[in-house]
Amino acid sequence: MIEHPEVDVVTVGAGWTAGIAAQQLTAQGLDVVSLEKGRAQWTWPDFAHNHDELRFTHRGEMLHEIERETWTWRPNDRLPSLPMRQYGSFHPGSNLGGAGVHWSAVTWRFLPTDFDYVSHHTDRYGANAFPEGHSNQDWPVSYTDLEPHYTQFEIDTGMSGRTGNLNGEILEGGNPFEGPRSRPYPLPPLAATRAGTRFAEAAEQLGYTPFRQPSSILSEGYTDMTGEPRAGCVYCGFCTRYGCHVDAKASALTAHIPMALDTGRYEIRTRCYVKHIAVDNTGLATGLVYLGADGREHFQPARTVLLSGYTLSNVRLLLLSRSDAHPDGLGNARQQVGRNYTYQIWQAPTIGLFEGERFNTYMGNTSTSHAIYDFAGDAFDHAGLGFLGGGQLFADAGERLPIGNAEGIPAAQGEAAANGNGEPREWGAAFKQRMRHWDSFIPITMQAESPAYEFNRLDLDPNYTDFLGRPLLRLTFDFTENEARMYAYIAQRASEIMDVMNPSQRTDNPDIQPYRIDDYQSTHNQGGAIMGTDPSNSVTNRYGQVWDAPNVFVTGAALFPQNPGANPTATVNALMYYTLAAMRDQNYFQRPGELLA
Amino acid sequence: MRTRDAGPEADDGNEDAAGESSSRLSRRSFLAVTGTLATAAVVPGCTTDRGAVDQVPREGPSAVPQPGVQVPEATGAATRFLNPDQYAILEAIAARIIPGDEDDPGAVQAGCVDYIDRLLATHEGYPERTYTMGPFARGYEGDEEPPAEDGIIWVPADELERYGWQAGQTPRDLYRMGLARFQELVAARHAGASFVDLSEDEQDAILEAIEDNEDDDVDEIFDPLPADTFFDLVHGHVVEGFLADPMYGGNQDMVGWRLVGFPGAQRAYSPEEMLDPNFNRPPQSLAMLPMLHGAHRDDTQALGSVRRRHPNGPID
Repeated sequence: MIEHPEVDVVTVGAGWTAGIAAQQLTAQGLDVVSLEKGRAQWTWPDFAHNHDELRFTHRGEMLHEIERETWTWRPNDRLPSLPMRQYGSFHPGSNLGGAGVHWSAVTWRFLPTDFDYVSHHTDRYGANAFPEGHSNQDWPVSYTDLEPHYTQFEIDTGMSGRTGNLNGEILEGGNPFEGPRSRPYPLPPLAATRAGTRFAEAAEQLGYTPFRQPSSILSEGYTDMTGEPRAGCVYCGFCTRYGCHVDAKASALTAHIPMALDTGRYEIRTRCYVKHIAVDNTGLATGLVYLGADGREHFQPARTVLLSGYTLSNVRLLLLSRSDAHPDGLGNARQQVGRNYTYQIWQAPTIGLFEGERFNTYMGNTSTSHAIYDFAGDAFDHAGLGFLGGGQLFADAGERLPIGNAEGIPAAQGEAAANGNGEPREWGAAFKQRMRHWDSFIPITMQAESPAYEFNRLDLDPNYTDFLGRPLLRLTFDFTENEARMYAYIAQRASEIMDVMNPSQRTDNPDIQPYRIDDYQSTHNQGGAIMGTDPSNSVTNRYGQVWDAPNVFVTGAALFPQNPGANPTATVNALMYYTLAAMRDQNYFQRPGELLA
Repeated sequence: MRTRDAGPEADDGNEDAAGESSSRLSRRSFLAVTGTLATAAVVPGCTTDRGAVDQVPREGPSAVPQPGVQVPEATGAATRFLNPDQYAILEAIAARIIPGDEDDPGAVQAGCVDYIDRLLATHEGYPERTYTMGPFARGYEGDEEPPAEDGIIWVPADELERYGWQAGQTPRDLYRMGLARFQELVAARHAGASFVDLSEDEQDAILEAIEDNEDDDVDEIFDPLPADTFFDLVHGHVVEGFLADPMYGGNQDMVGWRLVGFPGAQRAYSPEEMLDPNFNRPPQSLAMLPMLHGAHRDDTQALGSVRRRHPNGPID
């Protein structure tokens, strides 16, 4: 084992939260090392010539190395778990900057009621309104706690959007359901799309409030926290699964990591695969053990460990870090690790074909579309509806690429479905004819929340291992009746919007599709190492600090008690800012210990 | 008790559910093979119940005569993995998946089989990162789970497809085995004829039979390989070849992109162009896309981005 000199902080990976921590901590004079399992990558030259759908979207060029460490899944504990052998449901990243480089950059703040979830819904609908077997919890932080940190993140990286609620004042054109902002978005929203505009007109006619989605893609040139300008979006349409070739899309590579490197106090070691957290006989962490790029085992001692990998990696590392002090895994003395694993719903309830029109859907980004929040969270009255929770609706209006969208195109009137039972074959002359409508259809998509249940959880798989022979993480997850009802209700609203959009042909999906691991939905896995008010209901405190080992901090969406149904990155990063502020204000590095208050 | 895959679910028209960038097609193309061959060796040379049927293709015809080896007549088409017979059958299949002619090109004109041949020539034909460790799953029908067997995970057949790709075989193996069984099915149904000699209607009937995988003779001949899995594999690769960048061998002259109206690899569109109902730009492949700052590659600041490499920075 090769032992390195001790540093103040060692991080798992070099993604969003590791980059943010490195930037702030090195500025305070601390030494930080990041152990990144992937390679280095930079806007120049790595993203300069990458507009290749096959390599990036379908071959997963920037994704985590599942050939050596994947995840297993089963719908429930009555069925066996099998590994995700090729990419499906979600797409964690690898390489410098992590999944936050190849993200779409849709950047929501969660709603105030997402945080006081249980108490809010109990107050409004009574304690019996929750679905059977649910294990939802209030977050130990409120929207108000996080607001200044959301704002700081938005200003540091540059964010585009139309403000809907400024200090309680509802502003026209924005999202009227968002929590109050102390400052408006730094930049105006991204340019409008034809499909999004069509959706917005119909939604408005029905009395809803469409608005342009918020985005961490710069809508115009912006000087971020580095003090240097970055270019605005050029709407090339290669965002999700791609690094941005003009640096308009924010990631840890655009500001935080370069600033940390400039201090000389930050080191990133690439191709280093973290195996477990080492602890002393009191149970406190002493550093990280990892497989180095040289193929040898290394030990990086550190005063504080940041578990800043992907949600699922962080949970697995806790479970794999067994020791005399933590026989069931670090943080798992009360069987809290793995609880409240949640995902979310991402399905298209309705697809309209507009014969003879072209929508230029290959241009722009997911976040260049309009959305409505009228059915998100608790924005609408759930009394008597038989479910809790909500979701947003938006028109799919950007980043359409040909391979991934060749199938499922609605047939025009008079175009025969080849097999006569209403399900067209995706081959033959009729298939070819439908491909001619490739830019003429608009799906309305729902992103909706996923409550926590006792039976949806993470643990170690009994049969399958990684390339080192250690157990894979097992996901036990499926949607429930509550989500089926939620989907059906919101899908009906989507269908009514499509009625107004008046397509020439359409396909409706009124019922939820059961969860399946082989179909990409979103990389919004959450929970498993949740934050809470005390050790009996959580793995960490409100700062992500593990109750059982207070010099280990979990970052990211593993901390979320349940899934609010919106893209999580802004909240992931606001929580990191929040924790770093507490570390600074409470002199954590001078007086290590539990962060209070 | 039958032990085969339940087959892919009918398309639900929900392709864009992925929203952020759907990869539904490739998922659907690689549905579970159910690992029914997990314990049966498929390596050429290891005889199994089907071993004699599985051809061992030459990995590209050799132009160098060797003693005792008959040099095949030049076909004009140098292949990398597929032998000429396999190539011809795949081309006939591709012609029915996306039909075309010189005026309205389809899969053959686009070079889709050349795309597949190149794909199979690299790394067992795995098109993407794949976890290949066992044990492998095997489907069963009925209420009663079969007795435990070492190295087999039993899964109800109707649940299997939710689990995605579970094949224990490499894509190369699936092409070898699938094409051999495909030829056998055609010969059995058409008095020894080859697929390439059938009429278009007869060809379509064969393809429908393997896609649906409901006929007893299909099941019997393909067993233990699910016929629909083989169909999905070929179908997915044909569509990929038709719509991927031309540098991969298919989509020649960007005919696929021209058909759907996709301009290919472009650097930028303007906000005005986003809203233009008559926007039309000829397609451009990655090779045609001008390099960024090719003349002064070190001038990274010209990109308007921060690109400082610190001595302590990443090593590669």
